[in-house]
Amino acid sequence: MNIIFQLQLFALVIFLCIVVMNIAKKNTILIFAYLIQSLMLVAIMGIKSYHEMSFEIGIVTIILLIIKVIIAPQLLLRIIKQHKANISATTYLNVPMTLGCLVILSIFAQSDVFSPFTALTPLLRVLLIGGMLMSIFFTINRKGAISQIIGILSLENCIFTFGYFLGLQQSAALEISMLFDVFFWIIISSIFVRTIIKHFGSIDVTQLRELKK
Amino acid sequence: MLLLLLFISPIIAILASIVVNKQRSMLEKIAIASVGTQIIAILSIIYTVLSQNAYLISDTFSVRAFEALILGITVTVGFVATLHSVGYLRCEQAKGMIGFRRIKEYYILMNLFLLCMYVAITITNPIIMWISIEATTLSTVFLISFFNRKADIEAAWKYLIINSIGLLLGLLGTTLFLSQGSTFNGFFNWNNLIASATHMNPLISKFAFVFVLIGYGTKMGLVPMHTWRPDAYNKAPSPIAALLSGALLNVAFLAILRFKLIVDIVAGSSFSQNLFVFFGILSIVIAAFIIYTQKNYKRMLAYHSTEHAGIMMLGFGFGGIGIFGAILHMVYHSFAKSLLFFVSSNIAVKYSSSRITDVTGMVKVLPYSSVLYIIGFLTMVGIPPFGIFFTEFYILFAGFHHSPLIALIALFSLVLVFLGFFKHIIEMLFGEPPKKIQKGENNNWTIVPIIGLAIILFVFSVYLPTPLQKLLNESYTMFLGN
Repeated sequence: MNIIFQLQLFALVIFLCIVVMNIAKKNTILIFAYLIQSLMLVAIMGIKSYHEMSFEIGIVTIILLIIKVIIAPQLLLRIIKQHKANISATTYLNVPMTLGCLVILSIFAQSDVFSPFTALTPLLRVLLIGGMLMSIFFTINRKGAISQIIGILSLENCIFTFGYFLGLQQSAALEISMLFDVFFWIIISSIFVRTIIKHFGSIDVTQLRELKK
Repeated sequence: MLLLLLFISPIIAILASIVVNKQRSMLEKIAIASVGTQIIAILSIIYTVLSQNAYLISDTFSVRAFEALILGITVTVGFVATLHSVGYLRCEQAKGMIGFRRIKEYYILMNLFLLCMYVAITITNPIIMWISIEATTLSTVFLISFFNRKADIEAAWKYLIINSIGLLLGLLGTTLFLSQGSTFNGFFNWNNLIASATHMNPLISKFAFVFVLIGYGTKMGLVPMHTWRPDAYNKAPSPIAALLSGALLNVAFLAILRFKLIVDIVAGSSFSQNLFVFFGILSIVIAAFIIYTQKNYKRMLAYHSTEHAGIMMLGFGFGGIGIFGAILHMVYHSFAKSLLFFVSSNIAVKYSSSRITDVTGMVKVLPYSSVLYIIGFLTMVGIPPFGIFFTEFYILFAGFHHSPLIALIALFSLVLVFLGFFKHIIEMLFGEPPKKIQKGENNNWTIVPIIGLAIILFVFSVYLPTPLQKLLNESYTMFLGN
């Protein structure tokens, strides 16, 4: 299979995962979609490592796999299991409205506004820029704390992929530093989700009304 | 060597604090020794910058006049915050609000916070700067939820989510800039980017700068990305709020200004200037109206920070002498705002409330703190001879040349802030204090460091020492593009 086709396929899967996240109701599905999305990222990095015969990128790929595919989903799944929080909090918009917004964001991503990104084909513009916009929309539209975490992690995955397709080359040390930053972010946010559940008895962020008192 | 000392001292303090067991005084000594070392290191760095124009370590770290200025501000606020924290935490422990474990966490996280800011200021790589600024969020989030009450957790969560989204947009902007720049062994630095700027696509660079501005603007607390700020400042221990406002705000602004230098080459300076004016005036006007109707003195200070972030943006947006005003404003704002937060912590400890209506008769209860609060107030609203009068004068002067209507709106907003702040401060200072409150300052640690800061603020208002003048002038020249 042609490598460009492969990479575009991975970008498509990343995009579809975001669409699934936006309409799924169960937290486990969200986490599973995030896991698939991260796996695509690992695949993209793996291919890069193979083609460039780069040991350093290989190391980055392994760390990426450990943090995003193994640790992050595990941590979130454990919270769901311990607190029986499988059904996610509701969205602010219903499913038809959500789908409508996703379509509008996709059209916007393909518009002339983003035409300066000549390094990207129109399809990639929809998949990557649209993916980023949809991740932000997902974070805003969801009421669950776990959904917000996944939204931010998904946005981070999209920016990572976007950087890759724009041909951004940076040292492995920097990539690893960023991954460790993500790792600590995941740990801290999951600690906070547990604290929220402990104090408010729910992962629904609309229950957080203490500041209004 | 000096930078190593600057980075190593908080790391040693963190490690030493981890092993300390049940000895609060040992934690205090470690924190003070660490920040004392940081002062020595930064003063030496400033001396080097003044004598050699720059302090450089290969291509990785670089301190020029503007960075030296921000380092100086950060360590000064950090030093006073550390000394004040000693007294503040003792009071909170005596009230049974916190135990030894919390105090230990506090000093560890505060040192980590300072370390992250030092790295962000001195590093030449935009990605590491981003990581460091993101790390400031991670190190302060537990400080915001320090008292572990429901509202604290809520404020911390809000802070974490909003700042994380904002910073990811900042990362996107950074990625867009870097994808057009050239690297040295996969390592970007500001010099590479500036050198590559002439080959960059203007439209992509404009996009990138908007994302950077939104991203780091969130950290600065600019309107409309400011919503985390009042809650975070209200719930965080006041010395931490002082650091967030007096030090971190400048670091985030530094990040924006570094990218401004690049986008100005690619797209001309009017693009970034217009954006600065837009966000600046929006922040000033919104904050002014909210300050006027505010019921909580810590939230009032938070909105005040938003207003002053807007003033600094406006100074850079107007250009010319406004830039000089904005740089000098940064110095005065950091000292005066942290002073007000330190006094707020004295008020909060004494009155156990952050509502303005609950605080009456401050002059009788906290006489020294009241005088300091008045000094802070006079400085912040720009009453002469305090420095902010002159900086706001410079900025507005540039504004009347650049866009008179905006300058007029800004002037009206400043008057509104004065009226609002004045109304609240009178309410707090005078009247009869609640009967159950014991009169007198909490302890020396909570008052002496603030007096020191007030003296520095006053001296700098009436006399600018030559080294400071030199740093200001060199920073001004850099941003004028000469």
